[in-house]
Amino acid sequence: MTKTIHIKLNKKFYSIAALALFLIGALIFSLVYFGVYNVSALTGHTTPVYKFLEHARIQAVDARIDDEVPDLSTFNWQTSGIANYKRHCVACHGAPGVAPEPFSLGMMPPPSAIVRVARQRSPAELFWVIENGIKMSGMPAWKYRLSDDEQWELVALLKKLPTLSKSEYAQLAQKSTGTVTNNTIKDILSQTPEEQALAKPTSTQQSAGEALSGQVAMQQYNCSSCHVIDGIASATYHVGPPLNNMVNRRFIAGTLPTTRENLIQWIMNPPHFKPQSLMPNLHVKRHHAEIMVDYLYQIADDNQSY
Amino acid sequence: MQKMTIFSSFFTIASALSMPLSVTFAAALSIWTFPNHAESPKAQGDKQEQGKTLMITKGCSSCHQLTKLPAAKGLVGPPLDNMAAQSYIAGVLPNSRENLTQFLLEPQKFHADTAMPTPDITQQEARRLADYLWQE
Repeated sequence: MTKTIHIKLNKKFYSIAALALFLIGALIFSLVYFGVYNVSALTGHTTPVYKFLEHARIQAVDARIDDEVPDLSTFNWQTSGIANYKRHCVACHGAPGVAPEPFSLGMMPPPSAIVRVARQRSPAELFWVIENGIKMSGMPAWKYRLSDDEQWELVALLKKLPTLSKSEYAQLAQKSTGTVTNNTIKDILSQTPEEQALAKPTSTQQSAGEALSGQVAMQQYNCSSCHVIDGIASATYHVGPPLNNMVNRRFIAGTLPTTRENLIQWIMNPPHFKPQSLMPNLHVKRHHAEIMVDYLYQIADDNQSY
Repeated sequence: MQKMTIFSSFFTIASALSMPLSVTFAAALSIWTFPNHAESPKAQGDKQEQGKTLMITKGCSSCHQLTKLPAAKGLVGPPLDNMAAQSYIAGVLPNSRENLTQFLLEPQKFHADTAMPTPDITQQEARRLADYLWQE
């Protein structure tokens, strides 16, 4: 009783609160009205927005998952699971040693590196995300497109993927080619005629090349899904080594001496130098590889001459 | 002063409620986790110490960087931080403690062209190193 009277008397508090709310509202309104936040898919979110969204996503999934998980070993991930993975998933998420389709590299948020997700997330979480998809991320809901069993087969496969080497995955993928699927490894690595035309030096637009920063190039080839890179907000799990100071390390991938030219060559075709490497060939164009390497020198501890 | 009363009373109630809860929870947690540790903290600490010594005496630290071991700041191979979170070893081998132990014993078996030399270590030393690197 006494408390309510005290509050009613305190008009100053209310006017300050109202003013604060109004200012916050006006700020949000003007941010939207003047289009301050960039929705371009060329670069990712700013670090605070990324952290906020990531946290919100994890909390939202955790709040809804079903604790009852069937025994994953009972599901046929070796044939049916892989067949569905190749048909529906590999185009965006890739697989051990298999690059995703070029179109998916331009998606923002980038489809996550599947091995990282599989290591980090529980079967229940993986199932929920496959079944429900994730709003505004490009991840579709498979609930009415795959049966429960088929989705659990995918979960069982995902949990196996981090234990497979490049050649082991390739063998399994080879075995399941009997089913109807367009996304064989060969298809994924091949480029469309348009992309082949773009890859030719003659069709390279000088202006577009100049406008592209190394930071954007790194994001447009989805490097940050597997590598920690300064200046790019992304998850901090590690599929490949961090790239922050890599130009100062003696070897690329433990085998190729680090020089500017070798870095460019490696980025353009990793399997050429290290066939068993899990890093796939992302068909990076030379002028893109060059500005990526420039960016790597830029974020290194001290700018050595090169 | 008055507007603070509600806030402070709210926090007092909240903390009064959460205090016994957190104490119970901590007690339950310690009862639950304690029997899982077969080794005493001291034995574990000794193993960590051994891993640290091996990192330096076997030459790992001259090529690799490790934040928790300031002496290790080599710039030849990749940094070895967060090994437990890494998906792959040397970009070719799925990461597990067992695979890391095997890799340390004979790197060339898994990556023929690797610049990493074969360390002069026993099976047990390799296991110690793998455990040390996996420790958060």
